[in-house]
Amino acid sequence: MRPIPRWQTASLAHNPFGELFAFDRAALAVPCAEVAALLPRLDGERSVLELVGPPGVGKSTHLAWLAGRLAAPLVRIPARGASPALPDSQTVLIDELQRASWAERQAIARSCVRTLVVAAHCSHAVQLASAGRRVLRATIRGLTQDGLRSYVARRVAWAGAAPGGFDVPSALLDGLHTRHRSDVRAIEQALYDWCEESA
Amino acid sequence: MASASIELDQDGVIRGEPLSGRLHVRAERSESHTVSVEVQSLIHGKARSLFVYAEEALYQGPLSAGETRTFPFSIRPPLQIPSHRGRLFTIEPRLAAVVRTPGSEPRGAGVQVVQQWLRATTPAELHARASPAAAVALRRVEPGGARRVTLKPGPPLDASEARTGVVVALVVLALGVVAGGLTVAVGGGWLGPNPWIALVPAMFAAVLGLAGLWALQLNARRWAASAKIGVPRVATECRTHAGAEVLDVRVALASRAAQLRGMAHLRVIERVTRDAGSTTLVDESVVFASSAPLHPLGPGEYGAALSMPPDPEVSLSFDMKKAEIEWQLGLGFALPVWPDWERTLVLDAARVGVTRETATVKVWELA
Repeated sequence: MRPIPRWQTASLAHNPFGELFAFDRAALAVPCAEVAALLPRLDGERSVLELVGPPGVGKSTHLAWLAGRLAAPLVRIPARGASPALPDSQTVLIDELQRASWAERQAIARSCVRTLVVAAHCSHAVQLASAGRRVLRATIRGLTQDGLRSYVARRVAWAGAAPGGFDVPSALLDGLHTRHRSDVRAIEQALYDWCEESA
Repeated sequence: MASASIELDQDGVIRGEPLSGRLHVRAERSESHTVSVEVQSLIHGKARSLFVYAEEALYQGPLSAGETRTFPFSIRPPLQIPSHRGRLFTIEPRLAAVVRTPGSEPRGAGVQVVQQWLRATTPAELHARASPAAAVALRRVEPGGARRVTLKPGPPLDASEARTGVVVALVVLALGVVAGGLTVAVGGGWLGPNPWIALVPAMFAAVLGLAGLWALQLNARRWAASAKIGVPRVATECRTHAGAEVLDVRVALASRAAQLRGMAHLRVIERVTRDAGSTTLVDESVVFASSAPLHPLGPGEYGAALSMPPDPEVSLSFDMKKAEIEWQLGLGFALPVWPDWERTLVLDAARVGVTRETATVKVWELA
């Protein structure tokens, strides 16, 4: 018999650090100040906001949050196969742009979509700018220690915990932050495993 | 915006029987509302998804602010809904009252969901509580009813792995011989004008040759063991009996070996595949594992009785885009002197013969 995990002992509806639906991810995001500051500058004609950073820092979470803020469709380029067609919208958000071929990125840059928000592991600013777009770039660097605490509190509340009903020890959070630094995904996985252990 | 609550006519329900009750909706604002009840499976954990098995639309139209309406409903959950509790993901069937207002996404943000979990439970558990609903449910349980699980073996077991290993080892050995020959021919041999120049490729050739010889002897022995043991065929049907919780695995084996010691292992694993941008993350966790010695049943035939976990709901094969439950049967044989022979079969586990009568062995409880 599997031991009862921490989250069940605390009567949570589910493990707080499991996978999220996109709308939950958007609602629980702790956006970085740099991205929030760039948002008002996005209203220019043919502009691109490029979110750059290594895997796991929160680019997709920022995109989900921005999709809600801008009320625009979000497209994810698949690992295999052709890129999906761009939706008919003034603003489009594109995740995993680095997966698109050079020709596909060229087509995206030259499309009639007015505002693009893209996320990629490396910058494609030169290619996007060469298509006549104004490129704004934000580097996503994960969460600060305070940001991580805030994010963890939101996730725990989302799982149905009453205030103070389920505490993740600060020492654990600080240790994970020191160990994984900007890799929020790795921190989430470690916290998921911690919640699956018996209390 | 709206608030909703579900009131059910019964405390327990048998699979396939209709669920009836009333859905109360209170509108917070004067706007159009779409109200329905759904039987859903919510998958949460390292994968997240939602399946809708049955849906009954109750109302579509305007509700004024503060207005409370009651909608009677009767919805029939399907006979087979996957249910699973694991370390990586959980599949929870639920009865959901879904209230959509303008601007809410079809299955996403803004949709008001009130839920009642549907939990599979055993008749004994229900009996222990002795609630009137449990008694109603228990009357429908057939004594001695058996839950049958069919385990169909996947690709046939064969010795191709060892055969491929022999071929690879021969190729590596041949490369070593060719590299050695070239060293002698081009470098002038060990006593040439500059023996140090020849030493490096000679050592490379020697390493290749030794690796080839080692791999050859290992794989050749495995191949020989496979040939000696033969090609096992796993019987197509295994059964779990209610109460006994024993899975009988029969392995029919045509073997030329006089002495054979074998073990059978049964594992149910859950697996989650996640797209992590630059890579695909695969997590695996063993839900349960058991092993038992294979004993001779007759000429060239072996069997094993593998015990099942006490969990009332043993998950069957389940596959979606990101998460799956897989049943694996491992067979291992040991022959004196020869290397151990091990193979793993992926089993297509499916519940069969679940009719309204036999399904009553498991009763859905409203939690």
